[in-house]
Amino acid sequence: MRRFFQVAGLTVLAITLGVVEHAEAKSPRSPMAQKRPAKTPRKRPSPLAPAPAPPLVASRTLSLPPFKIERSSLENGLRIVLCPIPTATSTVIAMIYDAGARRETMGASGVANWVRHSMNLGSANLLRGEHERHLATRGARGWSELSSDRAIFLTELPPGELPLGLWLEADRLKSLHWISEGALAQRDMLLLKLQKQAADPLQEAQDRLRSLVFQSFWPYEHTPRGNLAEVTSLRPETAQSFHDTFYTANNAILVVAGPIKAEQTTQLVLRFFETARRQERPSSILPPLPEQTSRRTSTIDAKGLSPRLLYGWTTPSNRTDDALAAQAALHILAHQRLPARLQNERGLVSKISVSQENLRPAVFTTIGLSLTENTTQSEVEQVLDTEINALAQKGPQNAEITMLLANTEAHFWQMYRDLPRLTVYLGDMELLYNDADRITSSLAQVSALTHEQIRAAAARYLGPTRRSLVGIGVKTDLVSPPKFTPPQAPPKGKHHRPHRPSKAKPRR
Amino acid sequence: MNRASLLVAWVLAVCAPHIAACAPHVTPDMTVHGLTLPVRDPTPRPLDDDDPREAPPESEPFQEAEIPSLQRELLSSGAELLIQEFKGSPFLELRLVLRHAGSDADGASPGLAALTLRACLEGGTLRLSSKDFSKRLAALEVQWKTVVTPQAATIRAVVPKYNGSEALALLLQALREPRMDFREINRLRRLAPPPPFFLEDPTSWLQTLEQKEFLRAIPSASTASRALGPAELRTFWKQYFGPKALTAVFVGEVDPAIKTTLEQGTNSWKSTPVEASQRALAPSRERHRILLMDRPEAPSAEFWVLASGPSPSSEEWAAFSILGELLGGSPISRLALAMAGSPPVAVAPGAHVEERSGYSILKIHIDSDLSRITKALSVTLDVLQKASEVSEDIELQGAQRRILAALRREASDPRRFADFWEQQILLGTTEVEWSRRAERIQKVNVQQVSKVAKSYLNRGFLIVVVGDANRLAPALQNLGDIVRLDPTNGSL
Repeated sequence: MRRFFQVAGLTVLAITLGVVEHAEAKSPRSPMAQKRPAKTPRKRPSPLAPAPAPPLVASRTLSLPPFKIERSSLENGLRIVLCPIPTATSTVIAMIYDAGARRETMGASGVANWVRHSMNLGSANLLRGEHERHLATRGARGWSELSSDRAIFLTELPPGELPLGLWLEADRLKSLHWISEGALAQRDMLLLKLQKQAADPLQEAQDRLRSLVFQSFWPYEHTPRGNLAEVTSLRPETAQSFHDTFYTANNAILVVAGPIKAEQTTQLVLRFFETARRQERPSSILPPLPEQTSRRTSTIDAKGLSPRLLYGWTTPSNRTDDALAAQAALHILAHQRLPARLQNERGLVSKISVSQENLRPAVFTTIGLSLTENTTQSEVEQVLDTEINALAQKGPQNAEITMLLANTEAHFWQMYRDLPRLTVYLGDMELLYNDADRITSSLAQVSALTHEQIRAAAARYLGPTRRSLVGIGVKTDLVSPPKFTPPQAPPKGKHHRPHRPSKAKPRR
Repeated sequence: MNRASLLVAWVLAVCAPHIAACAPHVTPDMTVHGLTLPVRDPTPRPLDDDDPREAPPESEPFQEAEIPSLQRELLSSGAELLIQEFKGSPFLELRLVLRHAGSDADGASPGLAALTLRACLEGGTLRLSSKDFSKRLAALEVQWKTVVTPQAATIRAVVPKYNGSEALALLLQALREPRMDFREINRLRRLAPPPPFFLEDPTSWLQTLEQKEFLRAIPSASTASRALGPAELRTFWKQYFGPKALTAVFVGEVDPAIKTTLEQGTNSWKSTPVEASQRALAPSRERHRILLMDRPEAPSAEFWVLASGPSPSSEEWAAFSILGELLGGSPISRLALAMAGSPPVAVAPGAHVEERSGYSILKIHIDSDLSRITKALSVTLDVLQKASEVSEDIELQGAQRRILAALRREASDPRRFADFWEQQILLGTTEVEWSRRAERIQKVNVQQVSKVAKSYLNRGFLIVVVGDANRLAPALQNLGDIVRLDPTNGSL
């Protein structure tokens, strides 16, 4: 479980690494399948330290997997990212459209999700459902994901089936048959899913936290799944119009990773995708996220679940200089300090879960705490504040840094073997920051951070006025009775030491 | 024959193939319990030369990646060493499997197995306090966790390969000489998770349920986990922790010094563990057993259908796995096709086969709403009844390819590879299993799938339905015996 948390937390941290410098794709694209040079990371003087501070020091030499990223683009604007990995046993294709829920208009939430589910309606070459049928009969599998920023379609193919995967993806991009009847059937399916999610208190809590964290910022405030009532009243024409606007070649990125040869794959991509349509690209410019100046809280009914707290933070998106330091501070807090204090020492929490979402305006981090019996919110808050204060005043400890760097390195190696995760990562880097190649310099960038940068980021971004909280069935103001129970005398034995009373004071 | 007749015959002869090509490619609809469901033809549509549509590209020839064979060795201490070479990674995946120290072995004290393993790793050793031990592990950059299954207790760790030997020595020290300090155990006991209940963790809950329903019961469970003390832990440790019950698995670029470390770490470990007896399978049911989990006024509903199958080491296992894939492993599976329609009967139905020690289990999961859930259950049972009707080779080939693709994925990642071997140890199928497994899947024919369907799916199933019990119970009564459950209660 620990490792799962580390992996989840590191996903966004890893994204942060290579993308401190953002460049929106405004320059004209290079001609057909022309290679784009990788950008060299610029050196960043720390604004927080008066003199150059020593960087984080690893206990050994860190190594990054041998990523080789080839970036190019077609004349129609389709961006291509290739990542050859000779030792991989399958190939993964990720088709990413800048068509996330942020593109929806108020009152029409869920349309992005509906369109995502309707991409198998059939095409000029295939009947409805034949896309999946071709994949399944060749031993491949396909699935899709949606966030506020993008819709992503993933296909994992056995060796020898890359042409099929590319052909199928190009086919639905070029000639999706938007049939209202079929789309309505997909909406029925979607409504069934939404109905189930609406009854889930955990899902409700996560949605509530999102709306608190992105308060008054509609594109990210609403859940990408959409509101049940709004989806019910959506019309097929709305979805079709959304599809026609955002599912175009110049609004998409194609990522291929696996045992591929870059030149041959580029030829295949050219063959299948060069006739895909392009049209005027909708603007990606967003107003800035309003700064949070006070703590935001809410509670919901537990509906049978054990009590828990969900904390949410936004830290700078990867375009700003201290984004990486803020992510490192959150990582140390969530994966090292809170498990040590809340779980192991105080026993206030039985489980800690961490998730992070990298979005255009900010990185959205959630820490979920499942409380043990009789634990109150104030007890947890006290520990949380103490730990954040300590991090903000004294900075991270060396052991924490060692673990942070080791986890980051392990994360990249795991990603190197997990192609779906790798393609999503590369696609996100390319979509949000226009540079998938930064993965190759990422580990060096996190190693170049200083203790002072992490300390300053903790002070600036993790304080009480910067966080939001949703309590699920928690005792907010109740003071629980002392929980200390005198231990029973252990049976005498050769290896048993006499019990000494704990020095820890009983909790109030 | 006059000229007009000849002309008509000629026109028909020329146009018939084209007319046929234009017809929609669907098989006749399927009728289940009076409900007509559209069924799509699972075979890809052949295109002829005149068809304006483009055909998808053919498969390209490829060479199957070569997987290095597993090295297996029994050391003088009785510990078993398994090494799977995996080039090109700076990390080593490590598994220390105590083969008989699982939750089935803890008998009368639920939670004892998990607490004993935690006490070893988090409670300090005779030489190191828990804090010092934890610091040493962190300094070696060991990321670890403990997993307790019904059969075994396992430490899963990932460590930089240069620290592999040191990390192994430290972990062995924890297993060999745990401190079992009363205060530490008290602390760990408080952190022990409660028994899984449905709302918190449906997957774990379902696994616990499965053990309870498909295996013979363990003798009385009377001691609560909160009341466990050092004496119980020490007795359990003495009985089930020892080199003769230990298998160490390494996946990565393994330093030969690892073997010496394992030998040194286990030679001084004086213990003779007693092997846990394997629980026998419960007799199969004649009628369905229905567990109804009440969710008052919930608009959605879901159910699981569970059926036991052959042992993973038996010849029938491969055919049973393919059967699971045919039933619900893909968007063109039988359940997916049967549930499709407008409106759909259910969302993304799925089925798969999981392996256990001595048996396998087919799990089907269906999500729907309250008004359609009983219809979905009827459809599912009907599909299961007809599961033995396997006639198309293309359906079988697709399923075989998907299972082989999943097998390849296991070998692509050291972590998955280590998990795979860990499971195989517990199933007792590690002998040349990697190559044999793909072979067994490829050799299965239609008749074998049909045979296992007849053998294992013509019984009563365990059905777990979650939804508004008051509205669902009347419709379920005819199917079998109903037991109502509270979703907020951990006990089964």
